[in-house]
Amino acid sequence: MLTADQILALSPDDSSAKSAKGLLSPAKWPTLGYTEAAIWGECQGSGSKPYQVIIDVGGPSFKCTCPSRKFPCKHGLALYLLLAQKQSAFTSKELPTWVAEWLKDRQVRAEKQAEKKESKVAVPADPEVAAKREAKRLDRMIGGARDLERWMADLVRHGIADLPTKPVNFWREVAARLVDAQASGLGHAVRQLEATVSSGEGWQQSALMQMGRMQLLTDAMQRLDTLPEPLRQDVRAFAGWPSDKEDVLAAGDCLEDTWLVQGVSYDEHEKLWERRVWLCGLQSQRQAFLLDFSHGQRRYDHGFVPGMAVKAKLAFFPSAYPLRALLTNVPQSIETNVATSEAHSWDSALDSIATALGSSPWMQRLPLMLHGATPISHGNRWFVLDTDLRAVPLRISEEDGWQLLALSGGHPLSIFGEWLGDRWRPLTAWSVDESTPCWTEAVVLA
Amino acid sequence: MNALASLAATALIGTERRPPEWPSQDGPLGELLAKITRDQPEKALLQTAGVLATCHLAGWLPTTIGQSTPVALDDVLQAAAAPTLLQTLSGILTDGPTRLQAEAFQKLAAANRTLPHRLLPKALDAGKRSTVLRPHLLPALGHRGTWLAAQNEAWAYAVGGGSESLDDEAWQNGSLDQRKLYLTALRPRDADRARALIAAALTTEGARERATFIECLSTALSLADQDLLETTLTDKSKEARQAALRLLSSLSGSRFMQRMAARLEPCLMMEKKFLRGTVITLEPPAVFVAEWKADLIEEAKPKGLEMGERAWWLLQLVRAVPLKWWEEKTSLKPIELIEWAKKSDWSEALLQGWAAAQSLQQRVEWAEAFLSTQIPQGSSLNVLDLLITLPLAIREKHFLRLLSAADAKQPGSMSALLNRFIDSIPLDSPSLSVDTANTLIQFLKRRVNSGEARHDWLLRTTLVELACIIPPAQFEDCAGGWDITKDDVQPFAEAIARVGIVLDQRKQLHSLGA
Repeated sequence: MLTADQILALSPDDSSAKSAKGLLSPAKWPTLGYTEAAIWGECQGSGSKPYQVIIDVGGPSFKCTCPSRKFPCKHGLALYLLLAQKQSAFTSKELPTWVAEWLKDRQVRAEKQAEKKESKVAVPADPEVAAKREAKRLDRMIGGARDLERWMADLVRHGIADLPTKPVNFWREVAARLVDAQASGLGHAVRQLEATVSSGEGWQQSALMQMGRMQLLTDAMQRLDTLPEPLRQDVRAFAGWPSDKEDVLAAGDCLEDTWLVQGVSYDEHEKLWERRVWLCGLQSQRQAFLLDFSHGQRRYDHGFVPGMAVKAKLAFFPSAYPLRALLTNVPQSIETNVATSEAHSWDSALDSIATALGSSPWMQRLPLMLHGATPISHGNRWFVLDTDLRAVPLRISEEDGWQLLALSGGHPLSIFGEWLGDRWRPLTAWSVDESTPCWTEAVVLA
Repeated sequence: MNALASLAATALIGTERRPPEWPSQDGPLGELLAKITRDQPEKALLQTAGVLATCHLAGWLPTTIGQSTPVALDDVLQAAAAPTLLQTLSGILTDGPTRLQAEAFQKLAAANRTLPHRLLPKALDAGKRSTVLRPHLLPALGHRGTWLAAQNEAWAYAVGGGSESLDDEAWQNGSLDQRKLYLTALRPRDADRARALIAAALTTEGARERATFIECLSTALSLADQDLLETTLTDKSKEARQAALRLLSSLSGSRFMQRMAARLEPCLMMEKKFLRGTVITLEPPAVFVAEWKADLIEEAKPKGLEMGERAWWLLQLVRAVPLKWWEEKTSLKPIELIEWAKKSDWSEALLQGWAAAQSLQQRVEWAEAFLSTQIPQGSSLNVLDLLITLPLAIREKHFLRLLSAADAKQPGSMSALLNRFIDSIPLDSPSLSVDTANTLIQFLKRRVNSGEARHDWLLRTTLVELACIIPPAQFEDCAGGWDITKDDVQPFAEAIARVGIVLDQRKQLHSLGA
């Protein structure tokens, strides 16, 4: 069972959360019931027939008969919130047929999907055709890399001083050519460079660092054959061709564990919501993240809330520093009172950054857990400090910063976040000796 | 200059104009860089930068800053807030009416609790926006709240004091709001000490502070304060002088009010007329006496005031004379005096002067007299201003009467009146009486359910404000009984839902102490 904050975190947008709060009166719910596995209720809407709302607690997954396209809709959120507030109002204990049927349907569907997956893996494509197709695409990508290399060499020859004054199209055209060459990763790097040159003071050095790393990537693209296999996969992925799901499953780097959800981050680019769920295996201590996309609103198959634990089997994307993973089965949330991963010193935590970049130099986002971290606002910027006053700069909104500071009271916290190269984006924080997070990054909802 | 910066300088003007300065590095990094062929300088520069950048990122180390976060004192009585309470408070702070926010803070403080830590930034922001909220917020902040406020300049108003304990620290180093709170708390306990502190501060503090401190004397005001107040009549700050003037004008028995009465005395004449009993006549001063200036009587009338100079002098005298003086001089009751004044040539000056005196002297009989009589057309007297001077219970009674009168005359004016009435109630007033609340709820339900109010936009916000002053006994009655299935009531659906939410939130708050 989740807390009210955790439930609200599943809301697809602000207005759903607000509307849900308006439905929190048991009077609006003629039927309310729950078991360990499911919560259900009937909510009186504007129509004559009440909406039937079901939540599969394991996911959690939501189902509602209302016409809303939001997911979960306000009824689903309200039902879960109501349970968190007023368990006594949930009087019905026996599964009504409509609930039982849906749960059964879900199970059948999940089994079928699993079967389908297995049968898919079982039939390999014609290896010769596949190899030819792969070679063709790689050729185009390498062509794109050569173009990019020439473009950068030209810039450096004539000087990059006027880059901040370049029109949008200057960048867009180069990026579009790279996308045409099926190297969208390189195209994305060009757009990042565009952002860097307009980032104000010190942009020259940042831009050069970025171009230098792009150069190393184009170099690597041109000698893919000579690279060891996992690094080869990384270069391919950074250039814009990540492994297919089937390949990931076939590669077989799978691990079953109880995974603690350390943090969830959301980012929106042109209405595309990107969600990263950062996991840490309780037995294996291995780290992983799941990457999901959703257009328009935050709608994902499984809700993950920081601090919860799920039992799941993950398949890792092949990489010299494997982090990204896929779910191979439906995750089951389980109760746990384990707060965070094992405590490490800051030094060893920072060493992991060096190890990661040493293995796969183009990684831009790394999981970082710091214990004994005290937030501080210093010169209008946010940092966390250790006892020696060593400071790690944060990427955090003002609102989040003050809330984190208020919760710390000047005492150290355990914080998990994404390391972004020279800034740290905190996602989840725990007070000492607490298993439930005291703070999570607020999602700026669309 | 580090190697990357030097390469960046080259890249900035271009390798065709300035050949790169290749970095000299020892150890493994130097060996790696030495493998880069430099026949194409652009490519070599980028490759070198790429290697250096990767190493730079991989070897990132924190630097130290010469400042640490101070540690907050623990809040002794802080119990972990139940999730539902946390959610309720969070909802109230996010989009609750100011009055509800004030009530939340009061209830927390009364239950010996402080705001949950995660809500402190939101609460401090609310106090930043609304100064009237601050006195209610400060006692609910706890140590953690004042600690947090000290780290953000925008929240400086909350720094230095804290709970209602009389912390001398708050007086010496607190913000103006904190010091005001300190004086207001000290006055009832030790009026003399508070006065002494104010007197000492008047010699050193700025104009805003002086005016604020003088205002603080209004708590537990007594004749012992009149020396200090009279001295302040010559203060350099106009605000401070006006504050002293107001207080002196409400201090019955003061030398100031006696002087004013003595000036008015020659203007009022009682003549015994044959068959007509005593005839009262009034003749305002004909000339301005220079020494009046010492008591802040102004010779020139303010721009825009629609009366003559003599009337203006009269008005200033009337508002500083005890209302009782009139009753004693004329042996008339307040209502009779008002009727007499209405017929007088100087009615506007008299009525305005009395209304002003009433707001300072708070004489219930006078307010009731005003409210029970027809106020002359075109008069600048405001009924609601008079209403505010009454104790809440009497105020409610008169308000209901005014409301039904206004409603009968012009149905649309009802919500504007209700709105102003609610506005006039201080944030720390108790809820309405059960009777009044009941009458209002039934009245509004009739108007809304019948569809008569469907074009009354203001009523939508007013309903929510009203929900903030309904007594707990009426919560249920107020939340239900709205006919939202009717089309005519649909425009109110959201407001009625908000009312329900506010009442739920208040129910939670009221169970805090239990």
